[in-house]
Amino acid sequence: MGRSAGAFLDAGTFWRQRISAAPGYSVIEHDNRFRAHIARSPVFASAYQRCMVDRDALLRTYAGSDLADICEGTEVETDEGICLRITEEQGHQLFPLHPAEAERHLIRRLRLVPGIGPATEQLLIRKGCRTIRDLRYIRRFQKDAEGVLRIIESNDYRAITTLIAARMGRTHPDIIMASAFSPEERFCFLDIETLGVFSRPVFLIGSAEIRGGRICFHQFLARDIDEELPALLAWRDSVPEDATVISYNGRSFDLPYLADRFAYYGIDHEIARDQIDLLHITRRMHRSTLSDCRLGTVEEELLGIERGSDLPGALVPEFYDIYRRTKNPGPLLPVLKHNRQDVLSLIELLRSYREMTG
Amino acid sequence: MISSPLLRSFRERYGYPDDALFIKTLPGREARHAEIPNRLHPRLKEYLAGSGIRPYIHQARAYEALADGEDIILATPTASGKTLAFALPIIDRLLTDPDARALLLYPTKALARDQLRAFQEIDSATGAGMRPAVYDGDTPRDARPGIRARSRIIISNMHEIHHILPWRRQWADFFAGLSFIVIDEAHRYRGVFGSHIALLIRRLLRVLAFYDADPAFILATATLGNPEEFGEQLTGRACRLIAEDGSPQNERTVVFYNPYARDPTASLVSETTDLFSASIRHGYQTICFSPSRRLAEVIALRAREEFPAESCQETMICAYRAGYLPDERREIESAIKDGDIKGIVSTNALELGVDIGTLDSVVMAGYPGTTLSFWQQAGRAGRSGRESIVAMVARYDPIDQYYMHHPDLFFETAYEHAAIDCRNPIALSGHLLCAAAEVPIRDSDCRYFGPEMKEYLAALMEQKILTQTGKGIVYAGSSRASELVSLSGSASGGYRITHNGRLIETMDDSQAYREAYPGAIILHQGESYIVRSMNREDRQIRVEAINVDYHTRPLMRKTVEVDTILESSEYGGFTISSAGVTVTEELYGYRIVRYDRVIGSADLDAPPFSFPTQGLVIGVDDDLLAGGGIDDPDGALHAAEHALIAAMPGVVICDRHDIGGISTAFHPAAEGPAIIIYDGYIGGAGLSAKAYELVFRVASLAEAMVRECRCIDGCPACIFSPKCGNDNQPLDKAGAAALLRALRDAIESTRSDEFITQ
Repeated sequence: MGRSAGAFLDAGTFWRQRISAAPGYSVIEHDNRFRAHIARSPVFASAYQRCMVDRDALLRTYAGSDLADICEGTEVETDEGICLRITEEQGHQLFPLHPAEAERHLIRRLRLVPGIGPATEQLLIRKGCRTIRDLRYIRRFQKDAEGVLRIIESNDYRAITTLIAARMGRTHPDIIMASAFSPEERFCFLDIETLGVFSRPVFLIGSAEIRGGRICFHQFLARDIDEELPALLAWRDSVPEDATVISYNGRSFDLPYLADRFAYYGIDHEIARDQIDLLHITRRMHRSTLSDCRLGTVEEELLGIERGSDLPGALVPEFYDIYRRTKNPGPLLPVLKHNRQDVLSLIELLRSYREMTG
Repeated sequence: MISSPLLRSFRERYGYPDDALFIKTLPGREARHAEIPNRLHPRLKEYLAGSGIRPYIHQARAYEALADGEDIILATPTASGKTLAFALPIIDRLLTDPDARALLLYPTKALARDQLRAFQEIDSATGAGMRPAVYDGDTPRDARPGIRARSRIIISNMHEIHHILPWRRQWADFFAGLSFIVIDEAHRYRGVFGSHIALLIRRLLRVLAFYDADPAFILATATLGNPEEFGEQLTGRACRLIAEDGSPQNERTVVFYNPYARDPTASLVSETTDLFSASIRHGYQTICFSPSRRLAEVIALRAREEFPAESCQETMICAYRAGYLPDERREIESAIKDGDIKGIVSTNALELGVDIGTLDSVVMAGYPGTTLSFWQQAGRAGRSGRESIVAMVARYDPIDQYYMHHPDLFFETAYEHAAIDCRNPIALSGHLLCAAAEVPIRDSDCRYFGPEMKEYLAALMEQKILTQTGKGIVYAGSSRASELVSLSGSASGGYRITHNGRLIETMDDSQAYREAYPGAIILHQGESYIVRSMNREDRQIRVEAINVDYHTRPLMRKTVEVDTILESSEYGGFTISSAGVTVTEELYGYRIVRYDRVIGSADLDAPPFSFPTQGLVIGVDDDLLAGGGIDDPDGALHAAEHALIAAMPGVVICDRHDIGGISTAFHPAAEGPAIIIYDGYIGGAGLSAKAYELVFRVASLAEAMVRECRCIDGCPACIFSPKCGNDNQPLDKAGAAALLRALRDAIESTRSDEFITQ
């Protein structure tokens, strides 16, 4: 056809071109920060260029390689097929903040008692009420104070978080305090990688737990989309039923996303009841001091972690897609690394917040 | 018979010669009521009795048919009480079955909000507690979960459904209980847009089947030539037609006025203004419909000048068009209702969703293109207890002139057929992507998407946009499927047309190639814009609003290859086929045209554009062209092609810009002379396929248009095409008349009566 603006060859080519013409991110020329604020999923031009160079280098380096050459994984069998699990163990130091410390702190939060707001709390403190125990001597609060005290003294994680969420809000830093009442073994640090922000497959579930005093980090990888459901099931089966899922924006993204994907395959999946979303807590604690609340920024400015040449989240779908279509494992490397760092940062962030509140 | 002073004055002004004016009185009709259905829920019976409502026969029949488990298509005019026809069966079911829910789909947000009020009234009057609610792009985010959880009647639109289907987990409860889907103004979903909607409805049904829901359809449409077939194509289900209207109808007088019968150089603007002003002067509150915004404004301006300053305040006559702010609109609407405004001029685009009630008289500047629009516009006249007049001023255009010559035919069987094509490859493959993102696709889903499904799935899997998994075929693309596929009018959503960065419409690649080249004037909702740039990279066409009195006409070379013959029939001397074709168009410039006079031209350098589509191939025997009456075979073929294209919209609902054609002295597929008419959309829109079925009607109409036109060797009312790529050269009118007569006679003598009269 030569110089032709031909329109429709076949359905596959047509839609493939449309997909390529509509990437899920926008490249911000000259790294213009103002423009980045108004764009959807912005990627700065400099980072984009660097990633494209990296991508090409990876494709060259790993041409002809196998996935097994870049990561050590074991195949996990589920009722719906197999997926790959990549496991890594690390040493772990106990999280700071002993339940007794948390209890001492919470007992001073007069506002946990129904009927006491910030103003009344101040007034009561000025009058010499230091702890909820003291409220037992004020007839008005006596009954409620006893109830709240029973909850705190029970050291029951779920009851205490419910109380804090009801009285102070789910995003209150005291939620971190409450986490001291949960055994570390119940924590599940979670971050997922998907082909988009909604209604597309999830292909990587990064999930860390603490087992026998060590960090046990799993990545459940769908090597192609037909392994998505096995990856979902393998992850679900690896997490204790009463787990507390700790995430960054997981309350509105990761967990509903997983529930959507289970539902897509016609499987009922209850969203974990217990969650700590560190994004919300970060916003409440640090909004005014951080330049933004992205996890990368928090790592740099709060935890002092330098990611180096990290793959921007917006480019993750494209890199996975290249791996999936070429079977060259190169582009998958930065994706696995990105996800691993996200999960490990969650552990460090919780540690840091526990230190701060303690 | 002609009683009123206004009609007498029409007769005096326009009554010479005889055929310039046609007046017909359509008798009024008493309301026909039915008994309140016995099965109806006592609360509804009480409500009807208490409010003194006696259902019309069509409302009762709709209830009975739905109660018997049928799907229905209601073809009664606007203002015939459709809301109650929907509400009775729905509320009846919702009262008896506490899990039942209903989804109502309207084409515009304004209409949705109107209907919300109506349903809220019935809901509170019956105490049904259904919490009717609108759920669309304007619904606040925080109100949405509550509506999904608690409203049992949700009012929305097609676009919203397209985007909520992938969120089905949130809709599980609503979907599981869904018992009714109402599609109002269904006739709007035709052509390429209709094909998308038909496929969207298949997707909705598939998701509902996942939740074991199988709702009944209630369709409402304006009058069509093929309501049952249309309903079935749109929903995939046989719909029972309910067309007998029980609502009362005022007597109306229809006036057709053909200024060109007296003066071939007459001006549509002056003649329309004249008629419009006369109507106002006689005390009739009048609305005038015009084909473009510019014309609307000129008519309003000229009409104002007709009245002496003291009797005419600024507000007495006004133009009403798209682009007004909601407050301005409401102000005008209430001034119309209060009678402060005596005359309104509006563009055709606003015939729907405008809440101005009924007036005394309607004036149309030109035939609005379809009988359907004609009757919708005519429906604006008919205030009870007063004489109602519907007047149409003809344009110098084939269909207008044809109806002027045959006014009686217009009132008989002239309803056009609406076409839908669920096999358009872009629409079908696109909706398969969306469907795969909603529920994994299995082989059995071909009951929704047809036998072509597997072939497309294979092509999409080949590109790894879809993947086979143990649970079925799954969407694996990295862009959101429902964002890739645009419902709005064009098959591919190829180009975005933007004005100051704001999207005004999307255009199919092929349409954009022909109509939106730099320098072209395009019309959108009666407003004109000039194309400033067309960017093939970011697929954006940037336009600027402009007020000009000219339009542009592309100059192009076209070739059509016939790829597959789908169906074919022989008629002595003609072989007519419905075919898959590939069209290659090469745009080399455009003409600037003012009032049909070329005032300039410009060159363009655009790469040729090829696209597959559907075509109607008419192969002609060499002998026929060599025979008597045809002096110039090329001119005869070319003129016949133009006439057939001009006749198509009289039979199949479309605009002549939706179709294209070529004629050639030798086409390899016909092994001889041929005329090919094709759908101007990538993949086709079912228009030429429909024309193949109705080829006798198309041929006869084209033949009559050419034969009856009084010009000598061709004019815009017969064989001149406003979009001819060859400057209307060569044309042979007498030859075309002979050729079309031969075509019509050949079909008539070959086929059964049934085929001829369908």
